[in-house]
Amino acid sequence: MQHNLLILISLLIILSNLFLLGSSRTRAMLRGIAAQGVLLSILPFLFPMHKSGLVSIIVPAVLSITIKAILIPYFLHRVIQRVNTENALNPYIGYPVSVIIGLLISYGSFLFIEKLPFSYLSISPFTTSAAFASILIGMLIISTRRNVIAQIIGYLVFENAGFILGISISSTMPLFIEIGIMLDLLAGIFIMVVAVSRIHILFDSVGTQKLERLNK
Amino acid sequence: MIINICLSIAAALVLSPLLGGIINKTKAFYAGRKGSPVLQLYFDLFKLFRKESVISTSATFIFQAAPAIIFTSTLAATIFVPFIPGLPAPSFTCDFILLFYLLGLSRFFLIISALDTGSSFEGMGASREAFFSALAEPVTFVTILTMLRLGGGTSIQAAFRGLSSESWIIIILTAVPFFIVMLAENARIPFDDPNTHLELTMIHEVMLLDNSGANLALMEWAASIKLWLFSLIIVKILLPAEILTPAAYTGLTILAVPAVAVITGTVESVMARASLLKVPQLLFSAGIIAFLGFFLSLNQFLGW
Amino acid sequence: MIKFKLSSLPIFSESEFREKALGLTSSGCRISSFFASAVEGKRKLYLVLSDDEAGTVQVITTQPAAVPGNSGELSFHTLTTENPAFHLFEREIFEQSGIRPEGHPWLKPVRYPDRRPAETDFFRVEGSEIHQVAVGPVHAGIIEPGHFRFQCHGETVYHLETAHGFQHRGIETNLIGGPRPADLCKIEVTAGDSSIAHSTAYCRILEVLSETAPPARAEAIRAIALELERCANHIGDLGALAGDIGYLPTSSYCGRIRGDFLNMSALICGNRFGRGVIQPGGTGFDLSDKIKEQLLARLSAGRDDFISAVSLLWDSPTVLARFESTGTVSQEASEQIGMVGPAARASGCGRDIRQNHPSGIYRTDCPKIAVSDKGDVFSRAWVRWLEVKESIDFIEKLLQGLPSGDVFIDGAQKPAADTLAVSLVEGWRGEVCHTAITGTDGRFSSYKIVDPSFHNWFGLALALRDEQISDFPVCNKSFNLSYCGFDL
Repeated sequence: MQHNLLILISLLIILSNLFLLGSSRTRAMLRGIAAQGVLLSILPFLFPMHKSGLVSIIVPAVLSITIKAILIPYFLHRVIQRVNTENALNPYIGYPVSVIIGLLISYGSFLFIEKLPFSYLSISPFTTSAAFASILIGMLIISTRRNVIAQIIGYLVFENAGFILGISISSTMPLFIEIGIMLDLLAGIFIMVVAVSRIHILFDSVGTQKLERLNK
Repeated sequence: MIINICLSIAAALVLSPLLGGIINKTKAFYAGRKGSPVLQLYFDLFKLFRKESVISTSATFIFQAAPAIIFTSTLAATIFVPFIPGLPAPSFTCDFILLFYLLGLSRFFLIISALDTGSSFEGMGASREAFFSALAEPVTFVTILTMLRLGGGTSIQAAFRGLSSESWIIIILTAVPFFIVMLAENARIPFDDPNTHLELTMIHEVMLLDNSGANLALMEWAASIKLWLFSLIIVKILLPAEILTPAAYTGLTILAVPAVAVITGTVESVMARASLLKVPQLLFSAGIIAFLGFFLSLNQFLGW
Repeated sequence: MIKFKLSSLPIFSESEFREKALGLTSSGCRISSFFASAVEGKRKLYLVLSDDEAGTVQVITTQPAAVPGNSGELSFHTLTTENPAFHLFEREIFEQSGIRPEGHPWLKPVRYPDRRPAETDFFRVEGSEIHQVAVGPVHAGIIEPGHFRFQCHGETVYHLETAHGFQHRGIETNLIGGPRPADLCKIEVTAGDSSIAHSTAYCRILEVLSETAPPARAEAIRAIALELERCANHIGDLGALAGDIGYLPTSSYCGRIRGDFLNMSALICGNRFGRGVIQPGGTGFDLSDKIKEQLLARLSAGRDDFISAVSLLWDSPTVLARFESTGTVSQEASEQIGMVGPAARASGCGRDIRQNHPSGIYRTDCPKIAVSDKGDVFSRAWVRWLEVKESIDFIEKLLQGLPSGDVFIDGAQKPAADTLAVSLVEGWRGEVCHTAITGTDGRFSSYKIVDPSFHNWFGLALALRDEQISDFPVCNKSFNLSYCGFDL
């Protein structure tokens, strides 16, 4: 049962990644990343070897649902409303193509994890593969999108992947490190949101190509 | 085998108009209406068969022959998906290609009969139908290939093993895109609106605009047989054949096919029709899910 | 509503008129009406301009010059080339009076009173990949007749031209020689769904010409009837929009709720479209306390039903995705072609006669004006949603504070002689403008009706530019313009 659920959650994470890759609307992306936050919060319950008890299950779950599924999407929603970013910024790689790339990445990471010698260490290689795919897809989003909000979401995918990878390989992480990472993330997103608002006020756009011009 | 073929055809002929009625009743329920009777489609067919056909003077023999060809080829496709298990069924290597190309044949004649009338509306409908079905076809074949890989055979019978404990996730990843394809192929919301009267937005219905009387009845009947066939395939993808006795399997099939209609009606009620520009995206996402299922079926990742 | 003695109206020379017309329209004035009328055998052009900022209406006139060498034919230099909002008005003038706007870029008939539109009459996009799609005048639904001609490239619409006149009944010419008691019935069917708006505009013309002021209670009942009309039609439109995109729940519920609101009008006067409520000098019906209580109860039930039915639309992402960025009319375009009503407010033009040129009860109190800014189908639906809620609140307020007294005052049937009167009413589609000119005998020598549809049909054509042809029905419904109000 637990095994099946793990596979289901991992698949849903992969599908949400593909959804993020394929959606042109930042609001839709927000829904996707919030859904991913909810999925993440289920994961700690599915890894049975927690030795340090219920607290180490509940705390990451509660943290990820409040921070990743509620707070961060809410901040980003606010900033989207504020800057009223329209989705006219075409990505460097088109949406359908990036979804296909994402699909191949996901398949490739399964093959890759299968080849790795340490796969027996991992409790659920399936989840590990999903996490590995998420890392690459997060990078893909960051590198192909021009819209700052989309890039922040890419960063979140990347960060979620770290969480999954950690939990699927070691199953326990010291609790305070977990909390620390989450709070860091929250602060980071908060800073980014403020920065984006400022950038918008300054340039009347959140396209990153304008920032390149700033460099010169 | 003859018995099974006869049974399949009889079931498709007799039961298929029921599905449209169930879908409409479901939609009426969500809209807070009483709705038309479940048997309305039977009444309509009966009425249409007694009416005479008016044929446009600009139409050629293609237009007149098309309804019969569409009807027979759709009906012929049903024999590969037997209604009752256990009995010998027509089956040979790669028969699924024949199945879907029989449906393709009927679509081909639907399209050229629409073009044959020379109406600008029907021309637009035909072009949309051709475009969207071309997008739906690869999804169909990927789902069938996945099923075949799991079933370990090359005929469509092998694909119908149903849910099992080790491959349930792949089955789900196949049934969902196939359901989306079913909605697209049968002109349901979000792809097309079967109830609309607005010619400019129609896909399937607009191609029937010039048909009347018995010809229209054949087209409508063929459309409901197609819906029946797709619903039956979905049910067979899902129902675990190995666990159930033939009697239980048949009973569950009889229950599950209307359930597919109810689900379709629910989807139609909670969703608005997508813009035609979004249709390729929807089919594309279905394709992505289908491919994910296909990839998972290639290796033994699920056993991890 | 405002009146001018004909003798006090300055007659400009054509060049002065042109300069003044273009100057005023570029500095915030909007064309409410532009027509030709013959007073004492001399044909003149009357341009009614309303300034929404200042809340004033001005009328400027000119006498067009005779075409040299052609006895009897008059002409003036077209204004359309400078300001596209004149486009349809000048075509109408040419069709009705024969005065030729020289240099008009697209001088074809507006209503085809004598003949059917011909194939060659439509604007054509050339090229081997362009195809034309002709829709109507007979449509698939039970709607009015009108012809649409699309120039398409594949599924994309490059241009849409609308052809009307299938419902032309000659209402304006029929009214000349009035006022007669039966005229009110003709006015009420100018656009059957805007009975109240048109009959209010007509009655105000008579009242201002005869200097009778209807009692306060009558004004309140008029406003209630007008807002009920607005609610019923907006609700019907929201339902029809949902129906067009195949979203059945809202479509079915709104169909019923629209009926509830029509029945509220029926409760007042016995007619679901409010025929007979508005009379020159007041209203034909009074509200008893019993009816008042019943109306209040039905209103609050109607509001609950409406809110729950339409909230389904806003909660459904597939609906929003379908509505958003479909059929966009920019604020700039909307200003340029002089759009009015909810369609203009959806594009960010916050003009509303109830606020800008108030009359009757609206002078003391006015519902909040709903504005949206995207100009797409979503905005037009959203403005309707806001307006219905505001209107229901407003009706409740009026019912609770209904002034006492009579509802009718006699004497409104005797208009002053040699006068021009303009009356503006915000119908549910937008500005309804009636302009009347009386002769020496105190009878109408000219009566001009401008339905909001006359301003807005071109907006629909703009909304369709570069859109999918399959989006036409939903765009059309989001404007829901009148065919018979245009055809007169």
